[in-house]
Amino acid sequence: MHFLRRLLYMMLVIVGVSMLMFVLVRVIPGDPIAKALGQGADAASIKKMRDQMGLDQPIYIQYFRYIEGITRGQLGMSLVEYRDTAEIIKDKFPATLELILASMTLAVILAIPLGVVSALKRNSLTDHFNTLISLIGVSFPQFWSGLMVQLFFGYILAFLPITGRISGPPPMAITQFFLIDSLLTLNFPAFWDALVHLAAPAFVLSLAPLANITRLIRANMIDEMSKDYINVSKATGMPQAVISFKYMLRNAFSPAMTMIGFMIPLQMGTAFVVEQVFAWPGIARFGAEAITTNDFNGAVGVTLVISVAVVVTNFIVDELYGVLDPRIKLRR
Amino acid sequence: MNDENEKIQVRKEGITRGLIKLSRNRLSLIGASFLLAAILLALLAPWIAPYPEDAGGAVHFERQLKPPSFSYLLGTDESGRDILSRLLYGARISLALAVVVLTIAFFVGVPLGICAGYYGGKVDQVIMRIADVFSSIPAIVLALAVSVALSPNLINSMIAIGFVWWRSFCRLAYGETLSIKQENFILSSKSLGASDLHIMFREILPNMSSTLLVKLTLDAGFAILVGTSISFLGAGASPPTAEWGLMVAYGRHYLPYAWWPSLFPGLAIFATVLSFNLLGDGLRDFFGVEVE
Repeated sequence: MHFLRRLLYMMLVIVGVSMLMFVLVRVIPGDPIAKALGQGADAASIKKMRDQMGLDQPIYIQYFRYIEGITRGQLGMSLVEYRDTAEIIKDKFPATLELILASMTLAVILAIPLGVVSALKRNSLTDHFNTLISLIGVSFPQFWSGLMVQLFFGYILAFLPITGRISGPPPMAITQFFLIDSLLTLNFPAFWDALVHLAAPAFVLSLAPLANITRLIRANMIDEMSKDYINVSKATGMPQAVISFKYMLRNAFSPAMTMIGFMIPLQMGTAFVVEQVFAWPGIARFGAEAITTNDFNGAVGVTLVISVAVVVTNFIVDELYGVLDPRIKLRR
Repeated sequence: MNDENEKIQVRKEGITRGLIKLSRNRLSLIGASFLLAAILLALLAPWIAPYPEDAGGAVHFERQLKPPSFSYLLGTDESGRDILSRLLYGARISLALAVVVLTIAFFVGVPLGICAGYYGGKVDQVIMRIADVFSSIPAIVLALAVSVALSPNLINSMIAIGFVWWRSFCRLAYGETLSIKQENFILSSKSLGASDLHIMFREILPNMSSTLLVKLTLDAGFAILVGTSISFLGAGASPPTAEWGLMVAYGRHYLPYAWWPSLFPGLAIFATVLSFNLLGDGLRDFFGVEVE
């Protein structure tokens, strides 16, 4: 029952997003078709295309047609690429997902030791230093830190490529994640190529979550320290490292899971500028272009896919939270 | 009456002690001083900028892309304008953006959140479900779309971000209201016949003021990040406005040869946002509140 209600509620939010975006892109001043066809287009061809895309219909009819299209797997023709938005998203989504997953993995790997050390050496210089680092991490304008990483690692040290996802031919498509596909096909040059391309944008994108996760793990670890089981474990002579990393970290990390879930929307948003800076061929770059050029189908399509990703991630994280931390289930 | 005086006395002492405690937090102090300086510099920009005319669309072909020197401390941009002067004027825009965005977000989000939390039931459902819809679109994306819909310019981008930002204030006020509502003093006000409006805005609202203050400080920085990002993507301020994000967007075309037109504006954004975060972090510790 609980599950069904959540599912229904998820649908409701997604319908809400679709309506909000649908109306929003249609109140944009100016005729998107005339703009897309350029100055040379005559009135007749503009009208023809408007009719084709259904823009002559009242807005609620347009909306129902759009929903009907979704059931057939179509999201309407994009005025940026002149093909169906669903196709574009299918092509570009893996690139964005690979980037975001890489950045989150990097953030978690770095945040765990930072957070644990800060908590163990609470109020030491190391701790203050880590606090400062995490505040710095969330304060970068990512479009700028991206450019500075390009300047330093790409131009000055010249060991990372400046833009793009891969320089050579992409590996055979299996999962569409270049790192995984190249490993599966034992294409090691492509793996390396993809890895160096991924490194800089993933690093830039990982800074904010790194800071937030570190702070959360630190706070949770400090909470755990005051609990009785720590004293008991110490009394039995268990090594501190085992207590910290095996018992405390597990309890401290499960609340961080929800946080990581909530960060996905933030990351999708940040990807809008990071993909732009690194010319990353993902949906965020396409989305930014679609929104700024009045490509109404592209804009609604990308936003819809992103919010579905957000809502679904939150749902999974909430459910997973109960599995990781059985105490939560009891409370419900 | 005496009791009342005593209470005030205690409260005053608490504040003094708090201020001392806060001033011991060196990082917050650095943040607060930098912000104060930034506000002063922004206000005094027309008088202290070395080349005030460069804040607009001036073009000096004879000094395009000059590296930092004594006459142009931070160098000049692609039109030969002094970057330092433009940064000073840019501070006005970014600080104004934070004020406008937070004002809109505060006055829309907080009353809605309090109402939803206080009345519960259908009011709660309707308001919070709308907030959920807004929360499931990343702030930058929705603000970008709204800004374009309003026709992209600086003022509209501020309104757009405010339009997006209310939801986080709404959620915060909602959560706080739910917990404050349980307190006994609310029950006693109710039994004395206080009106709903009185309870919501005279009893509940003051009790979340420290949480809101921390939220406002931290969010000022994030609002500036979103604002400059939107200008960077071309849906905010338009050239030749001296807006920091826009300056980075134009400066990037001259990398790696000329690094100064993109380095310094970004550094200004970073320092301002960091200061808000340092101050907000100190305030958070000081009040002992948690802000999502």
